[in-house]
Amino acid sequence: MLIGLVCLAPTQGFAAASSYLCAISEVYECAAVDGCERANLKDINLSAFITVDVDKKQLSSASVGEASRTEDIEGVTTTDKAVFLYGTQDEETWNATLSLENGALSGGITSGPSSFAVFGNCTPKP
Amino acid sequence: MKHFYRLLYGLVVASLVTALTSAAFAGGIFAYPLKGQSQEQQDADLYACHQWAMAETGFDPATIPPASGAQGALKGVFVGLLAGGIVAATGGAAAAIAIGAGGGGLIGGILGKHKQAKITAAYTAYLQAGKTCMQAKGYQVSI
Repeated sequence: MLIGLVCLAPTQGFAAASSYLCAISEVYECAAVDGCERANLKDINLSAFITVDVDKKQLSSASVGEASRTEDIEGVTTTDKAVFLYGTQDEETWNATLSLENGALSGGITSGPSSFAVFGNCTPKP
Repeated sequence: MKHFYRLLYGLVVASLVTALTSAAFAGGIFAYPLKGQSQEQQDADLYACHQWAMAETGFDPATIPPASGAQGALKGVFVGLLAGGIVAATGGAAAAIAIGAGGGGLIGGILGKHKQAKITAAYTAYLQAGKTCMQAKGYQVSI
């Protein structure tokens, strides 16, 4: 896992690509009054590795040994510094920002009264 | 002697159930046939009670998202039992409760604490309904 994260941490910026491989490193679950606490990816049923296909507008799980799961991306906006993504699914709404300067990924998922803050790193998929 | 074999059989069934669900669920449903029901009859009763419990509670264990860490802990014991015999009646006639399990989408399948609590409550109701049904059919049942 650590090796994967190191490999996915670019030292400099990269050009926009058609797809990215992202490693989720940290997730926090937040709720009103209770505040936030770090969540285990497995416990909350979120993949540690996710492929972002900008052309197909689709997210897909990329973790080895895990059943493939996908999610449609409703909107994509690409600038020279970042890729912005958002979508909705059942009770959930989500958005993410992928930095083209350093590959950092940050996003949020709202699921009913819970809100998840997600952090990771991405690299263009060869 | 006959009683001993029935008890032994019950223990084997209980062990099987435990094996199917142990990693997952500390408890589980244990059904001992009090009236000497045959294996076929037990399978039929389990199937009927699984269907009835789904209809009564509106909870379909199949709606629990796949590949979930919580899946094992919540997956229906009836489904586990049925997996060894009758085809699991998952996704069947009973309307799945709107638990928002999301059917396992990448984002839609995310399980926050509130959703886990919701599923657990629905699953508990489903198990209780199943217990009531199996008891009515002549089984000693514990969850």
